[in-house]
Amino acid sequence: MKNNIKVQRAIKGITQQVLAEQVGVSRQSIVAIEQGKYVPSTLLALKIAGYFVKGVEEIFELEEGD
Amino acid sequence: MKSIVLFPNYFKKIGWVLIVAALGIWLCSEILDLDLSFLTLKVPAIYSADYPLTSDPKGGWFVYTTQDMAYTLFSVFFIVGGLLVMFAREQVEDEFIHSVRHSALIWAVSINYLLLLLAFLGLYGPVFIDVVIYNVYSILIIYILRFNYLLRISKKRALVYEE
Repeated sequence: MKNNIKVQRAIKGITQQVLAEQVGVSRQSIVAIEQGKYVPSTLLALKIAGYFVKGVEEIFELEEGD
Repeated sequence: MKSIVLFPNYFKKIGWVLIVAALGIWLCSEILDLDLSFLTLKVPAIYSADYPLTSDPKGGWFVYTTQDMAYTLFSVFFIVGGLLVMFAREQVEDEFIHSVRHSALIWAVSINYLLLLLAFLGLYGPVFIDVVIYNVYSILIIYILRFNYLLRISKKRALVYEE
């Protein structure tokens, strides 16, 4: 699954640390998600999307083979 | 979200102190061969085997028995310490850390049984008793090593990854 969290952060002008604090996880979790090393739970995906005031599918997208 | 029940973060330090204490006992008794006769104590037992080599030949159920407690202390300190280190919360304990815990646990159980299988197939005779003894601690050791290795990698990745 790919995501555009990095782009969303850039638009909003916030760091990974700020996003991590806002959704209640560590910065290394955000790094792992942005790099596609970790697929977040539905709950965390909803929290991230909610923080950017977007729908989950505007941020997360299935890849071929998922 | 329901998260798994873990010990507070400071239990990790207590766990490491217990592991070091256990290794200290092992070092004194097995390597330095120091006199630890003060650890030979009369203790209550659920069952004590009645065999000729024991210092207390009267065995049975629910009896007092005189035993060298060095190995008992080593095991109790190591297992309790290992469990505290294994199940103490990280500073930020989130679902990503849970996934690392999950992966490390699967790794520990798999590698443990792979090593045991190799030992069954390749080691014969009294040396196998050593394998059984190491096997008591191997899941704890492999889990702690693997979990910390994975955490270190993810921290390193976070350090080099641009904001």
